Amino acid sequence: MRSPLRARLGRALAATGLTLALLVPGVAPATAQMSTTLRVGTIQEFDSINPNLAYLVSSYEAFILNYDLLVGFGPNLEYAPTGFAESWTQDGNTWTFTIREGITWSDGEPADASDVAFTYQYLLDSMDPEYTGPWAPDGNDVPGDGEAEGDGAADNPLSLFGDFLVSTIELQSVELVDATTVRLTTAFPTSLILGAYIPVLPEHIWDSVTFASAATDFQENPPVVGTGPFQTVEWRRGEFARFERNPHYWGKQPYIDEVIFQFYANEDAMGQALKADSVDYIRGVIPEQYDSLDAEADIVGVNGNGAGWTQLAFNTYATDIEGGGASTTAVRDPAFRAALDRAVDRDVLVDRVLNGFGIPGSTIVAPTIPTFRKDPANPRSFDLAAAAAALETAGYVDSNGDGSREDREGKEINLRIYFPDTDSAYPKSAQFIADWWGQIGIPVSIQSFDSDTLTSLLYTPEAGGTADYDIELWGWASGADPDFLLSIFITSQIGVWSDSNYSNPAYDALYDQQKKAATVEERKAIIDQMQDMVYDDAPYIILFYDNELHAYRNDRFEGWTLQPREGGIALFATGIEAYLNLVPVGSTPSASPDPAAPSADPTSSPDASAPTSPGDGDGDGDAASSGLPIILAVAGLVLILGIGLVALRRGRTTAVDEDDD
Amino acid sequence: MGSRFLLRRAGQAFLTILFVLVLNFILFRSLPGSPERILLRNPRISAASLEAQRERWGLNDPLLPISVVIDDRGVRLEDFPASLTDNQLFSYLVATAQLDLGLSFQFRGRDVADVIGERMGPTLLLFGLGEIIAIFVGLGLGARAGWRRGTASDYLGTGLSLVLYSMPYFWLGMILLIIFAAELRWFPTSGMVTPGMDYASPLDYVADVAWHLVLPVATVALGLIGQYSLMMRSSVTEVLAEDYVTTARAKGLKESRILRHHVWPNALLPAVTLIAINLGYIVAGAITVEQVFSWPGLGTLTVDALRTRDYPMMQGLFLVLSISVVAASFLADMVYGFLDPRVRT
Repeated sequence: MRSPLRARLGRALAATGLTLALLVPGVAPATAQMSTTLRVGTIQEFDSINPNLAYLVSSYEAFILNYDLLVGFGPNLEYAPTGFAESWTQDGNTWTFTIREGITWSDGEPADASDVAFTYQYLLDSMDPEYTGPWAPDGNDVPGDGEAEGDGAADNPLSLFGDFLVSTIELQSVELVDATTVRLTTAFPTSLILGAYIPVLPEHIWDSVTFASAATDFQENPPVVGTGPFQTVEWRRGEFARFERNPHYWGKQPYIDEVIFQFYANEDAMGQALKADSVDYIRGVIPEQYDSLDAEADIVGVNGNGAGWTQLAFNTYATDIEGGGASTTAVRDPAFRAALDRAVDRDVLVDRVLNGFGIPGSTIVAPTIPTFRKDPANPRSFDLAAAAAALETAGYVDSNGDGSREDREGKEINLRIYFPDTDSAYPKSAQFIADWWGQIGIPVSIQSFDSDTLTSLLYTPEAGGTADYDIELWGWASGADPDFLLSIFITSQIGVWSDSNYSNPAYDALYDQQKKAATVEERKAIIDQMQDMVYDDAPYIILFYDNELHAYRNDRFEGWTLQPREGGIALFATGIEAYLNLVPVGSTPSASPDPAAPSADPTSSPDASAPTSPGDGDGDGDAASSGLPIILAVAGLVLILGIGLVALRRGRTTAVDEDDD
Repeated sequence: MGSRFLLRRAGQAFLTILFVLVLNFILFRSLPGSPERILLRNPRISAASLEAQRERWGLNDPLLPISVVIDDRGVRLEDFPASLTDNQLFSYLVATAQLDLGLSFQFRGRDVADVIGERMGPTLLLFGLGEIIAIFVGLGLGARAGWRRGTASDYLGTGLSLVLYSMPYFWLGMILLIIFAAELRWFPTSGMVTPGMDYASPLDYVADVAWHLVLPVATVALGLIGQYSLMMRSSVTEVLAEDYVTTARAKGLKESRILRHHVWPNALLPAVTLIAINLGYIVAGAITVEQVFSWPGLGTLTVDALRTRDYPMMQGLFLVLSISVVAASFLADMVYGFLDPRVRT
């Protein structure tokens, strides 16, 4: 499956709050049962709740709660009939999906196969410059000012999903057979189609939306209409987002009524919030914090295996770029890059930067994807002397004796390492690397950017930028299938997802072969070659495969199902099992609302199942226990004000009896 | 005399704000990263589409009436304009004069003034309350310490003030958060209200906000108390050495009367300046405190606007900041003039 996500791309301003509130009290949502509200803390805020604009991991969580996929995930993230389709069959290039009956959108409209067909057709058409129709009234490739014709590319491609359909599985046609059947035909037989991480959108809402609107600002504001178990009903940017249970959800009604994502501005405060029982789950625990949180009696740490990594990406763009590009041609030389690779001690990085929560890096398939993982055929080990010798051999010598090497054109090398300001692991790693490379005569300057700015610096001329960087230190997240992470090294990704601008026709050919491979064994053999090829050419130095560190409280809810069961995480896990399985501590799963019970009335089922449970005394007593602190606080304020007033009164009298003196 | 003084000050204030407007406009646009790229991160988006977006957000006109060229030959002005009005700077100044702050990029087209208005309440509440507490307590403590300098309570008060003054807000805030929110659980860790809470009455709502308010306000107040009390102490100490205090003593006035009628009003003058300056910096000072407590005010908004290159929002925020600084120092001048007749001419 496909997760084109910048790892931990986020930061967020956090807060909850009605504003100007003291002045205008009274607007209040429906009665909140604190014990049926799941509170999730995250540093990374949503970037959008329009799935076509959602780039960040956190936003993916929003859309898989709002919507259903065509094919969902099972307990171990295997493809399972937990989405729109209840079964599917493959016949050569054609897949036939049987859509579940009785699905309803959260606004009460019926949902069926026509919504599936609509979603796929809509995305496909958005990528097609030839498209003419209501979704692009002026055509989908409008010429720019003073140009006779368009540039041959669609103007508003919904490329987050459309790229997958057009480039990866090469979807040829979408056919609505009847209300319960959809047929999709690809250019070659592929099972990757099952991993399409594409939410099925409601035709009755999106049908009237142009591509231009869908690609820019449509549906940035709740409420969202979807078929998933929870829909966004409120999103206060920088503060929180609130999701309400979908009374029309086709599956078992979850116990929890409401999910609140609370956006935090810093990890320490978020960790304290978990300790303070202000949130039930947090995503993005920093390694230094993990052990102390895990040691708390009511807190359980989640140490999930990440399938992504953190890398140094060299800007290998093959030609010089006017006003930009790399500062030295050396970064285009595989021998130079491989030599620098030998001057990176990954064990030290994992130990000192990640506090051990990670695996030293090597190839572009993480060991957590054992089906396709291969250790490098020609491994390079950390050895500063060997690295220096390799640089000498490759022609990077210090001919003027100033302590730093020159490139082959005689230009002093001074590498710029850029990284985003979203994770403390980046600057720490960069410091270590600068030190090691400095020791072999390669000076390094490191600089931090906000992630948006860094992204715009990476754009190549193809994307309207100047690729003004030498090395980018950042990371990628991945799902269980390596396809997406393999794809970022193909030539056509330059200007799109590629951050190394690596281009190798042999690799491109292998990429194409692996996605068309008939069997897993055949595919693995090809992916093995790809791993070695990228490792040997070293456009990337993969520093480590970092773990996903989360934590939750176990004193309010139980049923924190991990996906996958081994080494998985509970929330932000690609699947949504945990949201459906959570029940109050002490109750058995059978105490949750009966799936067979009529669920038309959104308030009936959870309230009826009386969430109070024994031994849960201080867990959900927020309202009750807040009384004393308020009294204390008010008393304190009164006291302080009182002291002040006395001081003020003393001062005031001055003006009046000045004359008496 | 009085009205000329007022007019001159008002004129200066206006010019300052105009200068700041132009400076901010240029400053923000020299930051790396382009807003339409950040708005539309779709890497496959076509040039035509980008163009349409630039047009929509008014990024297509030239930035300035003339272009400033910086190259090997130094800094020069080029391209003298056909019209002085066809550029973003002019449109911006005109719109601002009409109190139109434009549309936010990051909030996808919401009115900047609306968003700022929404966020201003929480910030004013937080800092207003913090300032009031700090003014009373800080000045009171400082005056007392100055009056009784050399005594145990002076050492204690001054020591405490020094410690508080040297603590950065974010650190002080974090410590309060760890002790009173995480360990003792008396107060919430973040935000201004409990999300998703229903309030039976407006009073419950006020109580919820007050409960959330305690730690952030305490952080602001404690930080300022240190500053105010140190300043007040030295000011009182200075005044005590003045001849008129000696005269007052010679007249046989009671000590408490000397303090209240001779020392306090004179020692207050520098405090007025300091307080006015602090009031002006409410927006700026809010950033660190608001970040720690995730308070939905102008500080968090500023950080977010900077991050997303939300030019209209940044301009709006810095306009508010400039106006409040200028207004505060204007106010300080006025109060100063009132307190000290010598400045009025």
